[in-house]
Amino acid sequence: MPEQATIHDQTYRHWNGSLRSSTMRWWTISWAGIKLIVQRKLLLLLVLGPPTIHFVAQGIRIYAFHLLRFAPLGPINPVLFHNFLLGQSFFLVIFCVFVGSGLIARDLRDHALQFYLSKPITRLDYVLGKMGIVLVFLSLITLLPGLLLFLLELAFGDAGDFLSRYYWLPGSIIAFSFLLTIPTGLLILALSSLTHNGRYAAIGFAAIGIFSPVVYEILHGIFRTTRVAFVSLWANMEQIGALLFDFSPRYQLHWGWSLLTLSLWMGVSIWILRRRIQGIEVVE
Amino acid sequence: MQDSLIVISFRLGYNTITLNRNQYHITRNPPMVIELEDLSIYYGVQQVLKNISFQVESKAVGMLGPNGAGKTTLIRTLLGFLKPTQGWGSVLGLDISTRQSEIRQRIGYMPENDCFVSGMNAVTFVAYAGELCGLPHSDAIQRAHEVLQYVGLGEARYRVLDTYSTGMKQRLKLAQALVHDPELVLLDEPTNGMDPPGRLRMLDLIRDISYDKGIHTILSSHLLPDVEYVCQEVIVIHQGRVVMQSEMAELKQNTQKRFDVKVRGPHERFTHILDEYGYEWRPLKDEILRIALPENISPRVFFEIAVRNNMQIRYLRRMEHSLEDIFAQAVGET
Repeated sequence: MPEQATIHDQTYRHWNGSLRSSTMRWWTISWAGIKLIVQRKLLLLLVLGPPTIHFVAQGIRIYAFHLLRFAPLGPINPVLFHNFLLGQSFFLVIFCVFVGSGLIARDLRDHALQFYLSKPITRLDYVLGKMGIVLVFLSLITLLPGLLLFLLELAFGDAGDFLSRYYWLPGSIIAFSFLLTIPTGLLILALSSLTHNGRYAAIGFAAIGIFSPVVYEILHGIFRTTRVAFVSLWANMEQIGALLFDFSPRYQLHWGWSLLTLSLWMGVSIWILRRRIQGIEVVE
Repeated sequence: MQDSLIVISFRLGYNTITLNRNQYHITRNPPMVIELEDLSIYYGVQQVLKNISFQVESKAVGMLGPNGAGKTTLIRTLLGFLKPTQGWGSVLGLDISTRQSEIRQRIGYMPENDCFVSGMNAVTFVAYAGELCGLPHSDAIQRAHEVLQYVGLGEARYRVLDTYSTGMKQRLKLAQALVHDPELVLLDEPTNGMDPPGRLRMLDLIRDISYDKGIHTILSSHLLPDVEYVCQEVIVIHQGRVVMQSEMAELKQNTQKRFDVKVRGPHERFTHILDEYGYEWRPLKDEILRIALPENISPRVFFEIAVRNNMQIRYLRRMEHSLEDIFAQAVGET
């Protein structure tokens, strides 16, 4: 007897499963955002291409130092990893300007916040979801290549000697990567939440990224001291980076002040996000 | 002599307590779909919802009111976007102030504005909505296909949302509200910007959801025919207050005893007699009179009056009142 075919109707059917709890819904937002960015191949090339080239160049430097005995740029030590990660911060700016700036602004423009917040997710889930997108890409620019460089050093150099001297280096790479990515991510999301047009957020971010070092230079010129470095976003990061990678800092500024300044940046960003991410926009 | 039987029954929370002399009996009632008690909302110093109290238990309820009446604010309060400044409310038996997440998991919301995630296609978007509500990924994808087929977007489901027409966007918003199989859907102006055939299709969908699929529906609209077409019950909101709540059938019944009548010649004599009988009337255009008759009086009375007073009835039509009249009456614009 022939097997009977199942008849599928195309009407609405009730669903009999049980809905999952809400603990990881922020990741659903992150994952959807990541997939949308990955679909835009040209953009991906723009934001991930240059940092990959920078990483490859550093890899070649390590290879040349150990296997070709060619070291025009000095020895392989923690400073190299610090400078590599600090150099990658330029590409963080590129990512934030081209991608991060639109993450919340586009949702505000398209009224998508209503869509998100009418689902069983909280405002915190939403922000964490967007932060997840930023952190994944920023980690691809900082954390991942930083750790890969470390592995390259172990692979090409004297792994036992390097590990015994710098066993703390992976921890420093991870900590410094987060130090670069979390304040930057929060800042770009806060700026993005202030406008319906991502371009304004991008301009705002570029202004902070470029002008805060300029303000430092001006103040340095006036007061003749590097203690005023706390006004520069990147100088503060560099200052804490020196502590993490165990070398003399460039500025006469206690790392505590730098940490406090970065905390303030993050605090203000979180405050803005709390104010701006609402289910409704009330026009007073 | 037999003792007189006194039974007192009252509702306390979700329980009905019946007292019968020295005995009492507690019956657990199913929770109301929506229950609001003395609910007020302020935007700054402006009170936008004023001491609203009502209960909803039927399948399809229309929330009527002109633009700015407070319908959307009320929906947003039910969703937990706004905290009541005063009063209390529950949706599906869950407190709107403390259990917003559970409420949102069990309801679907179709907002008035377009709200999409640009760059996605319809299947991705609807599945995404399902996953945010807690559907597992594979189920979300399957449901997205089914629901899009159901709302009539099956052919266009792989198109990027930014290319959708207004009507398609409206149907897509309905699909994302239905994907997780909610118990209640809140539809805010679902036919906005749609052409007449599209509007009718949307209203048919809403009727089907409500009557055949058993999903409670709250339809907020300023379009009276939409509510009339879909709903069993209507709540009229005006200037932040509930000015009327009634079953649709009851409303219709109350309006069936109105007649449009035209007599030959000047109608003054006829209206004078109507006044004597105590019947309400008002003149319309072309010498037509709209007359309200009490429930027990037949329209035959018009002919009796005409015969007795040597007049002629030239036109008689029983009025099928639209909600428009009722709405105008409720908000005091008659």
